[in-house]
This record gives sequence, C-alpha cells and structure tokens, in this order.
Amino acid sequence: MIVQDLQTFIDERAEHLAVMHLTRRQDLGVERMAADYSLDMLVAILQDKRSTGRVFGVQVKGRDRALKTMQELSLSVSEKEINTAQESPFPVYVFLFTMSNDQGYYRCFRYPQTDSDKASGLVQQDQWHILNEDSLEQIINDVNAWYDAKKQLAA
Amino acid sequence: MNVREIIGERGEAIFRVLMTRKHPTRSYLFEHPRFLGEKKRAIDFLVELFHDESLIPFFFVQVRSTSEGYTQKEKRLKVQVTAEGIKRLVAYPVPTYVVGIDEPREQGYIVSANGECERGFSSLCTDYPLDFNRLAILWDEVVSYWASSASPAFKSAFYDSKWEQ
Repeated sequence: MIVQDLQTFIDERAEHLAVMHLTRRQDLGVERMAADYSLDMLVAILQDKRSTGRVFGVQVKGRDRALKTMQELSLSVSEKEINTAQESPFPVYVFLFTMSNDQGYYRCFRYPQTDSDKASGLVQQDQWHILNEDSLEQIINDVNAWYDAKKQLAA
Repeated sequence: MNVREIIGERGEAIFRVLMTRKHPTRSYLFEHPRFLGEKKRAIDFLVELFHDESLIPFFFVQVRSTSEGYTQKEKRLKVQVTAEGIKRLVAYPVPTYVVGIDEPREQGYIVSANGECERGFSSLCTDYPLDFNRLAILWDEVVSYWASSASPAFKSAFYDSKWEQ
C-alpha cells in the first residue's frame, strides 16, 4: 500500500473505531458526516432514546504506530484545524486512534468562546487523555455542564 | 432508529474494526469491508484482500449481530441465519462466510458458508474467533482459492477490437 492510500485506510478505520467506542453508550446517537465539514461526526446526547438537543462534534484521526509517549500527540492537531473548529457553536473534540493497538486518545478542541464559557470555566483544553469508558463519561459530563452553564446565563 | 438497527450498526462497526486489524507480523490483511446495501439479499459485505496488483482476491460475508450472548450448553453465539440465506450465499462461486458479532463484548466469530451445509441455524459456532491467527488463515485460504481458480480461458463477446491492438 502506498503511503497516501495507507493514511486514507487508517483514517477510515479510525472512524469505525470511534463509532465502536461511542456506541458503547446507549445515551449517545452518532451521525457520521457525509461531506467534509471539518467534523467527522456529530454526536447527540440522548435521554430515554430521545434527543436532548445537546450535541457535540468529533474530528477523528488515526495513526499507524502506537505512541511511545503522550508528547507525540501534541503535533496531531494543526492551528488551522483549531481555527476551523472555533466557528462551531457546540463543543468539539478530537479523537485519535493508533492502529497497532487500537488505543484511543482524545482532547477537547475547544468549547465555543462565549461569556458562558468564562462563567463556567470551560475553555479550550489542549491536554490529551486516554479514551475509555470513564473518559467518555467525563466528556458527556463536560458537554452537559457547558450546556447547563449556557442555559443559566441565558435565563 | 430502533434498537435492532442500533445493534446492527454497532455490529457493523465492530465487524469492520475486527477485519481490518493490523496483524503483528503481516501488517494489514484486508481492505475495508464494503457494505452492499440493505436490499442485497444474503450478502452484506464484499471484502477485498491486500495483495499485489496482479490479483485482487475477495470474498462475501453475511454479518449477524446480537446482544443476547451465547447458548448455555455449547457456548454458541445466538445469531440466526435462514436456510434461504445460506442457500443464496452458497450459490455464489466465490468464498463466502457468515460472521457473528457479540456486540457487548465486541468479539466476532467466522464460519465458512461454502456448501458444507445448506440448512439455516439459530446459533453460530465460536471455534473461530476473528483474532490475528484466524485473520491470517482466512487471508491464506482466500488467496489460495483465487490463485487456483484464475480462468484465463474466458472470452467475452463484448470486446473492443481497437483496444485489443
């Protein structure tokens, strides 16, 4: 496989891994984006299998080799991608999967920069974390906290 | 989307991930399985092998997902395939398989559907989990099938004579 084809293959596989991770939870609905909107997935938070109206975006990346250190991840998101995500009206995360061991990592791209963010303390976080069931719970809690803070400020 | 559809979609993602795992010594063995559409009877996916350009071996798969687990006695995965489905699968003159996905455990099991039996079943044997070893064996047997059945004698009526020159 030539390198370009390999990266396309890896990117697609990373998306399937993301779907596999996200659908472990019954309270998430995953919609893969057909067109390139700088987001690969839109994830809806559900309650009793119904939409709560709360969504977050996910951009998915893949790499062939496993990580030696978490520092290697710092180069995985470009400034351009961060700028594009800043236009999003909802929280956006980036998921990264390494194909050698199917390990997932995530970081928050950013929470939309509004007054409510400042009030809630939820601002851009560039720390990478390991993606597992606990961290998925954390993501959902953070997204819900962001929507709660936004709602409170609007009231 | 109802619960059955959600399990099916999750099952498909698990199937794609398991099939395309990177083998520790042989790297990637299979291309991404291509879904053939809801309306395609018996076959769900076409899977091509990574191989040199002179031959692109492939096989067909029917995928069944479940969250119901295993039979108590024989630890068979509780997925159903009808006799009609098996007969259609067997009728294709290419390697064909049934894969059962245990959705909660994210595990898959493969069985041959190449004419060994044309009856349907209500549970699937778990002797062949989709692990690295089985993926390598699967790759080898599909390559072996296509390498031995290449048919250079085939002549179509629809040839372009100028292209031939």
